[in-house]
Amino acid sequence: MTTTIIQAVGAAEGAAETVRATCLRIAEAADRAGAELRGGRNPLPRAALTRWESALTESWQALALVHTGLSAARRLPGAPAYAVGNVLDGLAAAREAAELAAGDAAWVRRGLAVAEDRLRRAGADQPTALATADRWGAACARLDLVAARLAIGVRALERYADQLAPGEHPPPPPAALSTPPEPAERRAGVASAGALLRRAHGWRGWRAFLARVRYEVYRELARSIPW
Amino acid sequence: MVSRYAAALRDLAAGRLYEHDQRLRRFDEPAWQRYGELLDAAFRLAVHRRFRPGQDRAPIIRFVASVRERYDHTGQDVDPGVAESLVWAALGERDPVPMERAAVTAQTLLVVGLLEDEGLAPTELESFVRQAEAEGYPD
Repeated sequence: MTTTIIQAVGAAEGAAETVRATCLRIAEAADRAGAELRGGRNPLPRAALTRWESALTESWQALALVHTGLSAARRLPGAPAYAVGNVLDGLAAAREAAELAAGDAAWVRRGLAVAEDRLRRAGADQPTALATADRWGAACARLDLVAARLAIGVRALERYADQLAPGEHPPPPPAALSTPPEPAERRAGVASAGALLRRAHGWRGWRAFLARVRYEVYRELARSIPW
Repeated sequence: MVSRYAAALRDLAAGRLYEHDQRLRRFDEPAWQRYGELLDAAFRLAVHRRFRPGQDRAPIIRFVASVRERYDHTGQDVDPGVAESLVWAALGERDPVPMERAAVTAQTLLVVGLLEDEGLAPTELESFVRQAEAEGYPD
C-alpha cells in the first residue's frame, strides 16, 4: 500500500513537470500565431487561435488539479515524507526563473522606450505615429508592472523559504529609526503628497464628486462678485 | 474594525483621497504622531516585501523613477536622491534620512507606489494595514 502511494506520488510529480512544459509550449505557439494572424478576416486562423487558447486554459486547469491532488496525496499515511530540501530547491529554481524574466522585462522595456521616443519625435505631426507611440508607452508601463510583480513574488518566496528553513538566511538587522519629523513638517509633507496624488489621479467616489461640485460653485460665485 | 490611523492609511493606499483628507483634518497632535509611526511602519514593511538588503541598485532606481513618473509630473516635487536613501535606510543599509517635509512627501508617495504595484485586493490591503499597525506600535 505504502509503496503504491509513493509510486503514485512520484508519477504525479513527473506528470506535473510535463504538463507545465506543455502549458508553456502551447502559450508560445498561441502567442506566435496570434502575433501573425490576429486582425485577419479569414475564419480559419481565428478558429485555430481560439482552440489553442482554450487548450491552454484546459492545460493550466489540469496542472492546478495535479498540484492540488499532489498536496492532498502527500498527507496520506505512507506518502513520501515532506522534504524541505526539495521544496527549497524548487523555490530557488522558481526565484531564479522569475529574476531572469524580470531582467528580460527590464531590458525589453529600455528598447521599447527608445523606439517610442524615436517614433514620437519622427512622427510628431502624424496622429497614427503618435497613437502607436502611446501604445508602446503603455506597453512600457505594463512591463514595469511585470518586473515589479515578479520582484514582489520573489521576495514572498524568499520569506517563505526563510520560514521553512529558519537560520539559513539570518534576518537583516532592523532598520534604524529616523528622528520623527516635527508635526508641522509631517503635516506639510503628507499634504504635499496628497496634492500630487490628486493631480495624478483626481478625486474619486461620490464625495469627491460633491467636493468638485462645491468647488465649481464657489469658483463661479467668486467670479460673479464684482470685486 | 481598524483604528482611525489605519483607516486613513487604507484610504490613501486605495486612492480614496477625499476620505483620506477628511480623516487627516480630524487629527490632533498625538494622532498625527501615531499616523506618522504607522506610515513609517507601512513603508518599512512594503519595502521589505519588494526589495532585499544587499540587492542591486538598479531595481530601486527604476522603482523611484516609476513613482516620479506616476505622481511627480513637474519632476521637481520628489527628490530622487532622498527617495532612494529612504528605501536603502528602510533596508538597514544606510543611515536614517532626516525627516523633513520633502522626505515625508517622498515616503508617502513611495508607500502608495509600492502598494499600487502589489495590486492588493481589499482584504489583502486590510491585512497589510493591520500588520503595519502591529509593527508600528505593538503596544
